[in-house]
Amino acid sequence: MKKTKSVRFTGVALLLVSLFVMTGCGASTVSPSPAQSEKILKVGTDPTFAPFEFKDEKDQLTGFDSDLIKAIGEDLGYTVKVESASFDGLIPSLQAGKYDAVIAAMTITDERAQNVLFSDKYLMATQYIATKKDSKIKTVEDLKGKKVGVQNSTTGQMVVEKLGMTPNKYDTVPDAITDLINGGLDAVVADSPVVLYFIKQNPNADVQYIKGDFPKEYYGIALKLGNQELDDKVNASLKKLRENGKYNEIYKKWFNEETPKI
Amino acid sequence: MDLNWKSAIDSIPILNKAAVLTLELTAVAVAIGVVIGLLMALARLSKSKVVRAAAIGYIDFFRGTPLLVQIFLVYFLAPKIFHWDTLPNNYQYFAGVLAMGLNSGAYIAEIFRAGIQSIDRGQSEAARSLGMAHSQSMRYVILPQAFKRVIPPLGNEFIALLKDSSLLSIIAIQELFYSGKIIVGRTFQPIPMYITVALYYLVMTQLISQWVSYMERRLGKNDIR
Repeated sequence: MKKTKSVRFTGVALLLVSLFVMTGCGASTVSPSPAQSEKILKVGTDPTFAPFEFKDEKDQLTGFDSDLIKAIGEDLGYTVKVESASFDGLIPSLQAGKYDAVIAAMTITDERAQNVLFSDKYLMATQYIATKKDSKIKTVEDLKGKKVGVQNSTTGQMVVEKLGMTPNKYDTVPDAITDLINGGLDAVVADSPVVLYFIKQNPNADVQYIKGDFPKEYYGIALKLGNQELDDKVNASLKKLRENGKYNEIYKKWFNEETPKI
Repeated sequence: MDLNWKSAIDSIPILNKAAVLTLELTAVAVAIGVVIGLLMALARLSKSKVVRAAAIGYIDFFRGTPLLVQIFLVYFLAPKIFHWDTLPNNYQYFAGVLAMGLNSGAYIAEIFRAGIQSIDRGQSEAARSLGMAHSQSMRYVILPQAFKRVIPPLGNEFIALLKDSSLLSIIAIQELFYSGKIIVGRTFQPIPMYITVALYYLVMTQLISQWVSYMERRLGKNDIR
């Protein structure tokens, strides 16, 4: 009996040591990114965030961000290939070199800017509070002491935590809103366009929104730190699309109004 | 909340595609698992202490840690081991299938070991007395009989892995569960969608268990005299 145990322990130890050795070797020899010869732009997004990025009835990616990145790709002569991941996995995957860029209605924040390089801002939003129609929550202050849901790693989470509260963190906004409707939450804090889109798509759902007075935020396209070359190109392209009306065309398609000044 | 079943019914073509992907991922993972499992089972019964320890270490690690953690580990570790700086296309499929295969390899190793040890000692003694080497008696006498006995637990492993493949959604593999989740992102109708997804899994697991019992009966035929 004793003998078996020691054999077993040696086995586990061997395996763990070999794992560490392998990672150790790997980490030290990873070289800086080589220039890509093909003109493919690998883009990551979280396709559960209508109207910015979601999949249509034919399982094709669509939405404002999707149209915008395609327009940028076309302008710069790249073939855009979009891959999906959950929102909180996008930045790690960008850093790991899985994508060249991430477009995912991602607000430019100081914290994120330490890990990724942001393009110029391309859209303005803020946080709205979604509640049930008979809710007593009328202002941001009313949120205190209530059960609030957010999508994990979003600015919604950041503003709620700034109030000194701990929100329930969901994988997607629809998960959080479903819990609100089921009575598991008193409110959901999420990006304004997403809340508006939900209510537009589900007029019969027992959900209303409150504007609150959360600060304005700006979305940016995230690139790998140090990829200044691509950043310059993307920014030039964004500027061009704004000037030639293409941006406004996409904006009108998804939000039914002219582009506001940002 | 109004239940909009139309959103789920309209999504059937997408779900069908995802179900096929789920089956494919599981089948490849089980195939990897059977190869690893057989090697590990033989290593586990080896006379060499080092080989035995390595097999036990492998089996204990993959049975003793959650598959979800293993998927993340493989997904983030493999690029470091293979020194990839930019990841190959569809890398997540590679990582996902590899993680599931490594995991099922550990379980299948124990299934094979139990199968091999369940064969009466007299069988290998008889083979050896006919002049067969240990490897020959294993290959021609023990393993063919053991394989028949492990069909039911192997089928169970396949079914368990099929269900566990939903964990691959965490690395954005658009299998059945993640497909459902993406559709809910558009329709905001989780209840009809997840009921539909559950039915898909149920139909698939039922079909597999029917197939396994058919195989069991067919291979068991010549046991009846």
